[in-house]
Amino acid sequence: MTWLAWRQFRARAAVALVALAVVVLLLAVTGPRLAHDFAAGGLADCAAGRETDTGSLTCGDLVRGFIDRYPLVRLLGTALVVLPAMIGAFWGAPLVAGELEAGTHQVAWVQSVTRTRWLAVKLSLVGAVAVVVTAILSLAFTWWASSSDRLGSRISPAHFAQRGVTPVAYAAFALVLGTAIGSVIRRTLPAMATTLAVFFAVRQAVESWARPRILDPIEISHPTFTFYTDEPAGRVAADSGWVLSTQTLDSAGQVLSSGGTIRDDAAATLCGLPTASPTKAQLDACGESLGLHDVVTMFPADRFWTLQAAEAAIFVVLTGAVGAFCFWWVRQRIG
Amino acid sequence: MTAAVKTHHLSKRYRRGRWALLDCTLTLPAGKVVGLVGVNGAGKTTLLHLAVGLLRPTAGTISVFGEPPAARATQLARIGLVAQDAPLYPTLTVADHLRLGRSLNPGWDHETAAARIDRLGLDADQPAGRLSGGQRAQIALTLAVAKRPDVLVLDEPVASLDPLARREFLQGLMEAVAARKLTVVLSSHLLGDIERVCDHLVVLADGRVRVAGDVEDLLATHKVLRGRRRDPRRLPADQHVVQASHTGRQTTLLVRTDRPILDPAWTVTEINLEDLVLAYMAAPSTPAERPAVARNGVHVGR
Repeated sequence: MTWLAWRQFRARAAVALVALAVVVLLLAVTGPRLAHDFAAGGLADCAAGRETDTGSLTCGDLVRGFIDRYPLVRLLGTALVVLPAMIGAFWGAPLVAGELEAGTHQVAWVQSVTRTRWLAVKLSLVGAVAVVVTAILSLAFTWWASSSDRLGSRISPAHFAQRGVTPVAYAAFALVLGTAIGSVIRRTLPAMATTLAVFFAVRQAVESWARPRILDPIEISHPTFTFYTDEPAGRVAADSGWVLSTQTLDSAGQVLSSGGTIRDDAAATLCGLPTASPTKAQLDACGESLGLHDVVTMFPADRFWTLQAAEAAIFVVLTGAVGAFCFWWVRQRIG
Repeated sequence: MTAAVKTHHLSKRYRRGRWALLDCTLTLPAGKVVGLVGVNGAGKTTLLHLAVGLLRPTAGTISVFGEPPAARATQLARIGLVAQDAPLYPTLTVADHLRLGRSLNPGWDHETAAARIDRLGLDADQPAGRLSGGQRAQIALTLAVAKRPDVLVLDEPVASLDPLARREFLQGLMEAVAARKLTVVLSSHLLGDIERVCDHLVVLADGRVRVAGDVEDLLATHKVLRGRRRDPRRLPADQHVVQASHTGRQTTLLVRTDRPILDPAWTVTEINLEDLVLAYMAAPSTPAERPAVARNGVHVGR
């Protein structure tokens, strides 16, 4: 059975492995240069929270310039988000649906091999290639972007799914999801489209609902506050992690604002100041008297791997559940 | 008589709600070539796919040599299928298909398979997608025969073949049958082919079994009666009318009976297989006219 599974899959596997080799080579070549640029260009100072000594350029300018010079950061990041979905749509969805559509299941299922074994071998072979390809790409990218990730961004939702072990778990899940949807719909193209939609819906649901709840975020209380007219840069730099919420509270613990700032006129009213144009000194004094402080709920950057493991575990469990359904369906419900 | 395939009130309904097969109780004898005939949509493919385990029954049971089909790998090894239009993997070559057969079947007979492909003059490196319908059917037959099954199931194997390819195919089939003690179940709506190769017959219509039995028995127990116009209901109780037609003065009946026709008013003639099959395919399906009896291996379904 392994021979047939490999014979059917080898062309697609070859394409994937060649593409992977090209990308890994590109990363190996550009990696050291990127690390050097990062260290030499003042970005390392920004990452460490120091001011840069590059004259007029702010850290923001440096980051923008760096991203312009290395478009690969964004490109590969996107690729790592898309790759598991593609594996689900192009490898998973046709795995059973393609055979049903072409009628070749009438060849495969009447040989001396049960459907269960047939599906098990196909899924494990394609699954192994999917996991290896995704793992190599993700780990290579994690290594490559490790210096720029010191800016503290890799735990944020925008980057979290592009690093570490989560892409591997996503790929495994997408593959069995595509296979299951293909088995149920029995037609390749609709199954591919449905797989993409369902995969991203599940990812989104986990990202916005489950991920913040799997581990307890920490709460940091800052004795500072920000008024609406203040420079955003003056805000407490909690950007060394994934900020779930920033609330401004008064001394009684009452939430005055959940946006991380408080409107000047609102603060002025609370202190009985003229609302028209309170001075900065007046506002600061007002804030002090009210006991305004920010409470930041966040995952600090050093929780990255814990959070990665938890998210991967969720998708491994989902993979197992959908996989079990898939076997049951192919054995009991087709025919 | 050993049963190769046995069904008991076997019924199959597809998701769209139509009964493709209804209450079908049959015994297909081992070692024979069984012909399954019926118009398109009569339930032939459904019955064959149930027999090889591609479909599972909605109600009733089916067994192949006493076991449910496709339950285990060893059971799958006992059946071979040439599916309708002989689907193959289009990108796999002829040689790949033989390799497929060898790696998936412990009982694979590589010499027979290679010899068959050789004799057909097929290029082993040609992708199956570029083969003609006849060539595909031959590959499918080779795959099905070389796994050394006990039951070989063929679903309309010659329907899309030209007369020459059809003859070659049936020749190959009969050689394979002669070489091994094999039960063959073959569906077709080409009555000529059925008559040439089958020794047991099942007629299906509207998902029900109309008649089933050994060809010899069927021919021996069916008579055409011609005579003055009369009411067929007044026939002796052991004569079952399959088909009746009347002109102004004459009545023609097809009856099934085990006994000789004693009434001198009838002119009795034998019937050929084609007319018999056509009569059963056209017969109305009201139960009253087709009582269920089983005698001498002749079953009439309800």
